[in-house]
Amino acid sequence: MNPTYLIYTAIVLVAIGTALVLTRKSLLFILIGIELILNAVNLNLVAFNHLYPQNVNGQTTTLFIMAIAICETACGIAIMIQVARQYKTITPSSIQDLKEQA
Amino acid sequence: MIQFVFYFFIFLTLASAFALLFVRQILYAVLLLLVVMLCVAGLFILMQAEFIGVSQILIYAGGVAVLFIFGIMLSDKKGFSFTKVAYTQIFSGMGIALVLGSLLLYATQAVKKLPNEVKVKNDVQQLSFELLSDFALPFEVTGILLLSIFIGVAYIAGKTNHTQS
Amino acid sequence: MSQSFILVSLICCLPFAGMLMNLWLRKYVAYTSTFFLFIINILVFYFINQHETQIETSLIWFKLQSFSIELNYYINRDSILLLPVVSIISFLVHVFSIGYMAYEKSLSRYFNGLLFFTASMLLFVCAGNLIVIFLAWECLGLASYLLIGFYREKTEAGFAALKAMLLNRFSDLLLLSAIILMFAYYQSFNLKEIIDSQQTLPQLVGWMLLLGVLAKSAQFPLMNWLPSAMTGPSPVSALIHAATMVIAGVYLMIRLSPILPLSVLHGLTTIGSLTALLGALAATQQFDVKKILAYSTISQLGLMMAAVGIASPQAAMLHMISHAFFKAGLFLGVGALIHHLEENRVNKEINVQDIRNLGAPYKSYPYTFYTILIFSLALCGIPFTSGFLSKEYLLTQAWNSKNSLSIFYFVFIILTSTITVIYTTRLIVYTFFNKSKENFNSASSEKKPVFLFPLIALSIASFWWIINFNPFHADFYFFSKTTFTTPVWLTIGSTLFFPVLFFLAFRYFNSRDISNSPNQLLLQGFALDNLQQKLFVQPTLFIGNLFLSIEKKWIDGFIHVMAFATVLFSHIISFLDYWLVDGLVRMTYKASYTLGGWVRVSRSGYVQHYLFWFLFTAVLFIIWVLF
Repeated sequence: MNPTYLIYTAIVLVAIGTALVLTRKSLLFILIGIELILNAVNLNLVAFNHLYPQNVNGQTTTLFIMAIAICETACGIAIMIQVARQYKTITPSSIQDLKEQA
Repeated sequence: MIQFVFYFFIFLTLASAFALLFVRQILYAVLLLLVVMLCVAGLFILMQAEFIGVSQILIYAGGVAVLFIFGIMLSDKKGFSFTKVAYTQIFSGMGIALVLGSLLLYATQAVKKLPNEVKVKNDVQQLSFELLSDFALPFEVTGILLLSIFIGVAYIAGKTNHTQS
Repeated sequence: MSQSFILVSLICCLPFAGMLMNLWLRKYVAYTSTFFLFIINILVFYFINQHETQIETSLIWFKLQSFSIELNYYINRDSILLLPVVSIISFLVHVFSIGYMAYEKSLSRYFNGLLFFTASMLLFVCAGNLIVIFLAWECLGLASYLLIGFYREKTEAGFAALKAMLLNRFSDLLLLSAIILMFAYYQSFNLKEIIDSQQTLPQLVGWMLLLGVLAKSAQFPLMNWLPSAMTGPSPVSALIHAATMVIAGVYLMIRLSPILPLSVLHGLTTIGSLTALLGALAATQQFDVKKILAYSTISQLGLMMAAVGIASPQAAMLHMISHAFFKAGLFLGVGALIHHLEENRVNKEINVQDIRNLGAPYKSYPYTFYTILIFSLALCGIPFTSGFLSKEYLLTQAWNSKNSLSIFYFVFIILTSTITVIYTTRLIVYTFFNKSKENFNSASSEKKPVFLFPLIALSIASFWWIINFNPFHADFYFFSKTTFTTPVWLTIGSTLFFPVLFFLAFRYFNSRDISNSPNQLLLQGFALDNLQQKLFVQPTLFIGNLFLSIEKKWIDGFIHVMAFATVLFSHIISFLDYWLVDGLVRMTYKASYTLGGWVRVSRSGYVQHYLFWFLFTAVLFIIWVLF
């Protein structure tokens, strides 16, 4: 039960989440990647809180992060639904409106 | 025994996360995410953060997974165009993820071994005290945030685009 | 300023006042003002005649350092005689014009011209300073020009005016030079000082003076403008080209005669005699009524000029005055006749001035006929007319003169008078006694007082009593008491000769039709027009064309080369501007555009690309922190 492994796990989760965010073609996958990264952060916080149990700041912060994560997911999916209505696609590479109109 | 459960959860987490990279069906991806979440919740409980673990199960398994499934229902339709992702993007994304992961692993080498066992008591009580005293304001703000997000999401998702439809 | 200065100025300025008033009071002012002028002149006439023999009065006009030009009058017996004559005739012509010009449109222009002329003539008569004389002289020329060209719609009127102007300018140039040389010689412009100095003019100046007055008085080489000037209205011909303006040259010569050198006097006699004969000859062949009278005027002016030449200015003066009355009368009479005939002609194409078309029965126009007859008799020199007496005086002076040319002149007078009788009779007969023509209706309209009053007044002034009570002695009332004797044979001879000649000529012309084949040389006034055309106009045109071609070839060529060079230079400048100055600017913006393009490539618009770059930067940051 060495928390060091949890930290390694968190790092791997971050890398996988990053890869998901960068490479997948669906907005849902991107959201899943973000969830993975946030979970890795939570994992880290809980592991360190386990090592230093004088206070429970780690766990408190985890709670807040969870709240914000659920907010972010809800927002993301709402936006995704709107995008699906608007562009008939949820592939981010098809949506280029940030670029100047060439 | 507990040691075994610990490593098993870690393994299951990493394996499901790794499988996420290669899954094409989005429903499977959501199920794999759910596995990851549950495993992480197990790890939280093993780390004496039972309240957090329970919250994780409640929120992610009960909330986020349902949200994702509704998202799939509302967006994944036939007739949508799925352009192929360029290989350069895949390789560069993978590459940057690998580099990032290995850099972070290298950075944690400095920590070396953390202390193995720490005797701590189970203190959900302390957590609740902290939340309602020191973190009272963020707690309230989070409540307001949740409310406004609830309204905002309902507004955004409910808005129909008349020009398109 | 003396009283007399004001009085004389008043004489000269009254017509100007009339001109000003004419601008808004129209035609009635013109003859009213000349009537007042006439009365004032009569007053001046008596005033001066009773008190003084001469008036010399002045006002400083402007100053040139120590030297001042004066506006002065010099009035002697000649001026005193001429002033009333001018004003009376001017007045009568104004009255006549009311009827004659009744149907014209620009009446105020016409009357302004007449008044301007009258003012200039009076100023000329009174002027006692060569500068003022020249000023008035030019004003006369201008008035003449304006009035000859009065009928603007007629092309030949414009050409006639131009011809008169040009010939007069030629003479005026010589006159001005003569005046300047006279100033150099006498150191004064003052006429009285010059004459009182008793110094004879240098030959050159005298001849220039002689040539200077030729055109104005229509003498031989420069006389052809006068017949052309007859395109003006008839009253204008009467006032300007018969009675007053054309005598200006003679009058100037009379004024300067005390200082003229002998050769110039001989020149005057020669030219005058020649002009008299040539004018009379030309008059015999004319068909235009007014041209006959114009040549007649030329001829009579020649006699006056010649009279000055034989040192007898008094004779010239006398003939001038009698001639002024009867010749003005002739022109007015002919004008009245033309006016009546124009109203009664059968169709509009009949030229009423051509004696071949005339043949108006004299019984239809009795007043016109009889007044014209009286004037004609005066012109012919029939006894009991003023013309007889003045001609008698001319002959006497020519006979008595010790001048070497006087016999020559005597013969010329007799010749000219004979021819004068012939052409005058021709005019009368073909105008009134030609029965075969039916160009005119017989309706009479001549009893208009505006026509009759001037004619009757002038015919009264054409009898012997305006010169002397004795119809056979030409001792004028106003001459100084130098008695002279006319040879008895001369009086008897001319008394018998001219009436007999008149009678014979009348019989001759009455019995035969008008000759339709005149002598072309005489008809065209000795081809002076052609001569002047060849001598002056064509060389001038040639020189003009020469300069034109030089201008076109060289000056325009130079300008074209300059223009070409300028255009070329501008092209070079524009090339440099396009590639150097603009090129720099274009290079700057193109460089920025290209750089921007490079930078813009990274802004792909894909969310994942942005994220990639964000993470790439994060990785770099981590590397920097760790190592």
